[in-house]
Amino acid sequence: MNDEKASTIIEKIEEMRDFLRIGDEVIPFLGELFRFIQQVMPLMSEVNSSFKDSTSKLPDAEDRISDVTKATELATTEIMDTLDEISENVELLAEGQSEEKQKIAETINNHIQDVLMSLQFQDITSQKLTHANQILVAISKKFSGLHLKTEHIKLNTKIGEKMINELQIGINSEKIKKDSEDFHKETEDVIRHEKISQDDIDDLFG
Amino acid sequence: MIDRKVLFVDDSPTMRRIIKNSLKKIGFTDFVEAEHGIDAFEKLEEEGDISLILTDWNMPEMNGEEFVKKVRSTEPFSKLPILMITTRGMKDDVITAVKIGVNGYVVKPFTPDVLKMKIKQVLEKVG
Ligand SMILES: [Mg+2]
Repeated sequence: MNDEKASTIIEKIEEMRDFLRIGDEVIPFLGELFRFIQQVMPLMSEVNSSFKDSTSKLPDAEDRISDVTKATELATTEIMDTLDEISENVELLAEGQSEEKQKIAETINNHIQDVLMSLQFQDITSQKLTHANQILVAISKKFSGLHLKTEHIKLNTKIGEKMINELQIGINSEKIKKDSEDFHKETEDVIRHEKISQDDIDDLFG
Repeated sequence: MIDRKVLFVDDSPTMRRIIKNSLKKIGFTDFVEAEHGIDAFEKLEEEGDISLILTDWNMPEMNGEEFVKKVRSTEPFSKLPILMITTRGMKDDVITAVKIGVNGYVVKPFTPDVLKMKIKQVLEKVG
């Protein structure tokens, strides 16, 4: 073997070593990315049926937004009905009264009118909520795509296999578990008051 | 009293009530309401004597943009004055509205005074 050939071989070996070094760094990163996607998927996705389980929060969010819209609509209608009634009564009270009192009645009715107009916020906030939800749905679709890609890598490549090992060995399994719990806590629904009656509440207080 | 039949279109019951209320205050006595574009177009054909349209943009079934395009391309409605009342306040939205033939544009939330002024301007412009 001449020197030239030897140095070419050494160069190739160096290149392979570099490649493996990259692999050492990339694999843990991919593992982390994979875990991240696994954590986020149940939260986001209704697109991939394999992840469609009871913990999926996104369809729930959509239902809740429509519930919130309906509830605020109903409340707004009640407020408007009451305001209309007050307005009519004020007019009745003012009938045949002094100019001064009629002026006061007019002022009250103008204020009532202002409150009525400010109820436009109900439509505006509903639309903002709907928009926020649309963004969530769009992001969730992106995540689904990403998830399908990682599944493909996992099944079809050596790196994918290594990634699974990385996942299963769970070098920092305590940390992973904690991350997962933290993530769940951060996204937990704290205003889910699902139909517990006042009687049930009272019973719990004994 | 203003002698004009107004069609106002909005998917929000709250907004429909507020618009109706404001129209009464302004002096209109004759109005028809609709929940979305399809509903509105049906009412337009049914009534036959509507002479002013106020429409929302974001609505299900048929949105305000589609509704305006349909009105503008259907006789005898194509020249009717149209005022858009919407939450969409981006410049691009307004440009789109102008392009499709909307005559006036009000961003929610509005005050009765602004509505009155815009209706007046639209009617002066289009008649
Ligand atoms: Mg709307």
